[in-house]
Amino acid sequence: MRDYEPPPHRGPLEPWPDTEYDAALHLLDRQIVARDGRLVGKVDDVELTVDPDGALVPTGLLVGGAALLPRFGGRLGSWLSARHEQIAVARADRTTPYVVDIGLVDGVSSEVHVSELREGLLARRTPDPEGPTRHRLGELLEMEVRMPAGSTGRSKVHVLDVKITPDAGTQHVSALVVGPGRPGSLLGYDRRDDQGPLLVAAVVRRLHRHARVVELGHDVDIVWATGEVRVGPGATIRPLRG
Amino acid sequence: MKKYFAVFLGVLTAIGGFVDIGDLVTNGVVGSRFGMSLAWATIVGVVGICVFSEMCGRIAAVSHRAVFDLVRERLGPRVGFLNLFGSLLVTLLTFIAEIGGVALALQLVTSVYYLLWVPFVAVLVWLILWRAKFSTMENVLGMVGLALIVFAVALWQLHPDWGHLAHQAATLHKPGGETWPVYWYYAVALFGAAMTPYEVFFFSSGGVEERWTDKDIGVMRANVLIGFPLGGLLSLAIAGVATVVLLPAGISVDTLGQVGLPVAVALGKIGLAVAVLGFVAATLGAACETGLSVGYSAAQYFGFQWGKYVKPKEAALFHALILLSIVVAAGVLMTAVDPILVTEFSVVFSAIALPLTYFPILVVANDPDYMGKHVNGRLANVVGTVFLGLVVVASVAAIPLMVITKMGR
Amino acid sequence: MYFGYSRVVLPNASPEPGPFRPGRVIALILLLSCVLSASACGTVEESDPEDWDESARVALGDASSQLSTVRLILETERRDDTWHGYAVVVLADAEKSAGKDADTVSALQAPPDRTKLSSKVSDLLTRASDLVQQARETVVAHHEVDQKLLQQLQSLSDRLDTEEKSLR
Repeated sequence: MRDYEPPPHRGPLEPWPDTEYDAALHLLDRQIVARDGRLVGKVDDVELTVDPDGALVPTGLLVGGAALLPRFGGRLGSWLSARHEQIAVARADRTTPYVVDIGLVDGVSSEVHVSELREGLLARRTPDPEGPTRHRLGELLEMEVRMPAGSTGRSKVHVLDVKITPDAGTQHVSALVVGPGRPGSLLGYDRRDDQGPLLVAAVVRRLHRHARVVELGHDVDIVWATGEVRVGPGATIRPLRG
Repeated sequence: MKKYFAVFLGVLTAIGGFVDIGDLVTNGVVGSRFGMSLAWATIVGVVGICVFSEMCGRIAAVSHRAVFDLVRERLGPRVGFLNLFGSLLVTLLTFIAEIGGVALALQLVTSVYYLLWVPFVAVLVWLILWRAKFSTMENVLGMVGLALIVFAVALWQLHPDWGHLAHQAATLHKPGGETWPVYWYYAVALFGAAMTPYEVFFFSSGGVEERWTDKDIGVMRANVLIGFPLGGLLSLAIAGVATVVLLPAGISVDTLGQVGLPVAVALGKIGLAVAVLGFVAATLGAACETGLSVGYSAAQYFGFQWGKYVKPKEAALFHALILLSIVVAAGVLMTAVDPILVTEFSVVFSAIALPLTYFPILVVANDPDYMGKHVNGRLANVVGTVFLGLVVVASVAAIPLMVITKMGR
Repeated sequence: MYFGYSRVVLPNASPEPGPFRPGRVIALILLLSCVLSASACGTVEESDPEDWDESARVALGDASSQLSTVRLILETERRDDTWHGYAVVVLADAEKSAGKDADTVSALQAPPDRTKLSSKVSDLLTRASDLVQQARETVVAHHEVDQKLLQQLQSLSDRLDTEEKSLR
């Protein structure tokens, strides 16, 4: 039940999450709106939990400076995060972002709808050493990817986006979009061929002509400790479009 | 019937709300120094703001997203933040100039020194932004801003040689005393004055505030495509009266009082009074718009509640931010910095900051994920791409021109 | 591991903040802007002839514009086409600008071959400033603006223009 009128156009995920979507393009940085139509925050990052069979499952939307600042990336990101932690040294939870459980999300269009009221919505996860391992989508994005020789035109490629596929009520990370450049630099032009304006589309496609989609599974290892993805010769690699 | 009234009201407020301190000063200066020879820059700027606003308005109507939502969604947090930083600086600079403009206009009415007016104006702006209803604020100030039509009447009453003015506007010509770099510097300034970034922040956020849906696209288009060009005509009229009265007299504008002088010459006391009323309304309206825009852009980047469609206590951080920017703006003005100088900086920096927001808007306006069937058509894309080139050129050229010409001296 | 989240590990990033030092960037920007602004307004130093000509030309042009403004506002005031306060504000602004123009040139050390010209220009600018002041006093005291003052304004403005043109 919603207390307000959401935008009429639902984007690619209608109804959410019945189709495969690109997490960086369609979920990250979107506005979170509560049931009462009030604005909660942005999707500053997405929590990925490793489930017992090893799949990465998006389980929560992370909100707040502790989620946002590391995503600035590189030295600027670590510098800003360090300053953010410095402001509240006394707080044990200063590096833990707020989380909105993915179960509360009842729709994603140009905004992310949550089925609760705004007041008191955001909380931090209680630490649980026995619990499942959790990662952040922001860490996965920008990870360096070691590709098998000859699979792309470039030697230095990064994770640009993460494809998430729904399956039987849950969803999991199914593939990585890899290529030179930064996350977001595809600007959505990988999704369809006829998106204008011609000039911008041509430039973006030219810059990303070496981008590929790597299916997670056989011969693909995400090494979180060193921040790299190792892709072996047995992995399924397909071109970005078609 | 109701719909026609909405269009009519919207067009009138768009005209009245188009001119701000940047347009008043820049057009006055250019008219008094270059005649109508830079009219083309204003016209290009007006077409640009129409293209830009129409895209933003359409996106706001279809997807309920305002400019800085899209900037962050498309460019990511890092580039988006640099973008926010730059845009906030320019908007704040414009805000300072507008508050200074209101104070200068009030000084012309009361002959009380403008610095004494600054705190009063700051409090007034805060009260309006805190208490007034969004549509009341927009409509009242826009309507009173229509008083600036007196400049068009004055131009007509001055019986200028229309053929000569048109000839100046149509040919690449500059008066002998001026140099080409200065000419191009003012071309960029006029472009920046017409295409100030806050106008689109305000316009698109206003669309979200007023809960536009795709049914409102027609009304929005009418407002933009009729209202803004007519507002642009007011800009040209301001330059026109300066061309007719001030240029031959050898006066180059450096105060707001000089901008109003031609109206006094043409229409006398009453005309002048109407013009000064227009100054007050136009700058006060723009001060409210820029003040809100500071809050809008930061809130839309970080995702906290914004807008006047909720009670102030529900958007506490948004209102706190506006209050803070009012205090900063008033504080800067109280250092006795010349508001006209701040205005000149603000229009040039507007031109510099423009591509930062223009580019992501152009991309999103083409994205069916947001826009459904309302994506840019061919015309919008051709014009949009041409203007992408223009805003980039103006942005890159602005700083070198500013340094070479020492800000047009 | 922090509360179940693995810590963000970036390639080549040590747990300590990296060598990103915004202090240095800011210092560099400050230094650059100081150098730029210093090069733009080193007025007390003896300027080279071209710079001096440029400053004198700008001051003469501006002063002439102020004299014309004063003349226009006096004429408007005489026809009762403006209200008193408006005229006073415009006159006060013109007076301030004219005074500033006179100060700029007199504070500028003229190059050796410009000494004579310098005193001439300074003299003209001072006269302009005085005339504007006189006009302001007349209006503030509600005295009748006479034809003579208007003529003086016109002729001095013309002289400034001639002088400005000769410096081009």
